[in-house]
Amino acid sequence: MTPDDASISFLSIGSVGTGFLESSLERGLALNPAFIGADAGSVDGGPNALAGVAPGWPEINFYRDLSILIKGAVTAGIPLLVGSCATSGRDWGVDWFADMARRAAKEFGLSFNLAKIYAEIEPDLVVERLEAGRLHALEPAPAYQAADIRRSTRIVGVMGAEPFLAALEQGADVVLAGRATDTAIFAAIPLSRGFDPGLSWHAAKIAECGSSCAEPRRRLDVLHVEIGQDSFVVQPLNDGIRCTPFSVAAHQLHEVADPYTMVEPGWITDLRNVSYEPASDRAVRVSGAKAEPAPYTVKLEGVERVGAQRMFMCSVRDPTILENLDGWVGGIQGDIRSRCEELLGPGGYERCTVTTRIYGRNGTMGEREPIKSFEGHEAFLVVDVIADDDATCEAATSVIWYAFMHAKSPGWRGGTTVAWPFPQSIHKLGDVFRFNVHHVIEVDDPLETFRIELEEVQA
Amino acid sequence: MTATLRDRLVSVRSKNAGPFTVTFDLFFPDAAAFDDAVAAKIVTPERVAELYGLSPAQVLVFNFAPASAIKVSIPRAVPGGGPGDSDVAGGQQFAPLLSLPA
Repeated sequence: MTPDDASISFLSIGSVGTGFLESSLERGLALNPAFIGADAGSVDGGPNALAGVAPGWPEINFYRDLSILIKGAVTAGIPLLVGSCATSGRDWGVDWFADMARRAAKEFGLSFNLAKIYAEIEPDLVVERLEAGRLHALEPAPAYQAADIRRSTRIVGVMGAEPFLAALEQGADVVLAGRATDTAIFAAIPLSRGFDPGLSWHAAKIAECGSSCAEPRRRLDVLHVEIGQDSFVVQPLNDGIRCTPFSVAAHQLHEVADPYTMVEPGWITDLRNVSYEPASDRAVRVSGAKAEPAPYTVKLEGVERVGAQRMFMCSVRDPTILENLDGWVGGIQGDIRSRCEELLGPGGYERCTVTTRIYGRNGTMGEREPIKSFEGHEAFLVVDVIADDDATCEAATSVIWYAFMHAKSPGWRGGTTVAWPFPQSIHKLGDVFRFNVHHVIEVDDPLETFRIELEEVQA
Repeated sequence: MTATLRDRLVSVRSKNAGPFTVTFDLFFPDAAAFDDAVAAKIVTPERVAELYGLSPAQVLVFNFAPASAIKVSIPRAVPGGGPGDSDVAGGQQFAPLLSLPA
């Protein structure tokens, strides 16, 4: 397929919720882009967003960006594609963003067709794929058998380009998608218009974080991308920053394990022979990516509950403790175990998982810290306790905190009391979750696991 | 003082690449410095594995000339933000690499 047009251009903002300059969006819209794309998702913040504890940003942050994008796109008569609504792309986040879209319609007096694309997948379907040999592990992957799948709090499939295109074909002006690959948001329309798949996917990769591919590093802002027949050109819309061959190439490394191979649903893109050349003093021309169709798979993201968690923190300035931190911590284990048993019955302590991080020594790196010796005049401890239920967690944490507070100092006949900074010494963190899957499933159709709903939003 | 990798770098990035992998981007000031570092085999799977207590097969190293950078990807100790984690976004896990003799 060859494109009808010589080129296609689009705008990307960095991330819904982190902000962008409205003046940059207006400058971009004056260049007549074919669409605006915006990613709203990330797994960097851990499992809580997908688990349902909290999205990555408050409503005021999301609404500011989303409402300005809707106003810009609908007024210009071009589609707005938003992926991974509310950080995790769970169904609740799509509905939450849809509420904000309706609010924006009222605020700005706009009417438009809204598509919601839901990405959650029932455990039964995943078990069926497992049993059919159609579930495949990525590297590195945890064990993921039927029991693990059924223990999941929530599972989403990460959509490719096709659900976005299906929503547009059904007449959507604004697409609010659940979990999507960052790149599918930007590659979908160029692919459908016949532009080279390698250029389309690579341009989408460079565009995924807006002006993140420009320098010097400032707050994220709007990026303009134009895909032609044999190259694409990127430039930021804020005069204070510019794209250079270095800054754009550096983005190819961003948050990927392998910078030369991009795997997307239905496509694999080879980035080994890519070149980056200046197109102006602030724009960069990129060429050379080659994409090939690949067996269609959908990556899964899922989380499971591990337990209830509480934490406390304290600091130590006593040099006799600092000289023998392990001896000091080890010396209280017997007291903790016996007191937990008094309160919780036999095995009470063993029902808890306790993690002690000693900052100043290996708090940041844990077991991976290559410097094993401790030097310094103070240390800071963060201790967390996880148990199946919060009542057990509460009792055990109180015991462990009290033991640390009055632990015997190795160098004194008695002990010294540790320091803690706030009168509320123990903090309830609530349910704790973990990501439990790094696999893909084969699908019969790219749309199989996604559900599209259209609605007319009135001013 | 022995020369270390830190002396040769102008910038470092350390981020999660999904919940199960952490990736480090080591930027050299220019193509010549990058070529020198690659030729000197400062960053190899074996050296990274020893530093982090991994096996060399778990370590990916890519020389990336367009950005004068070496990328290193390793499995996370625990999934990002899960129990026992101490660096949810993987932002500080690069630090031991800086002390590689160079």
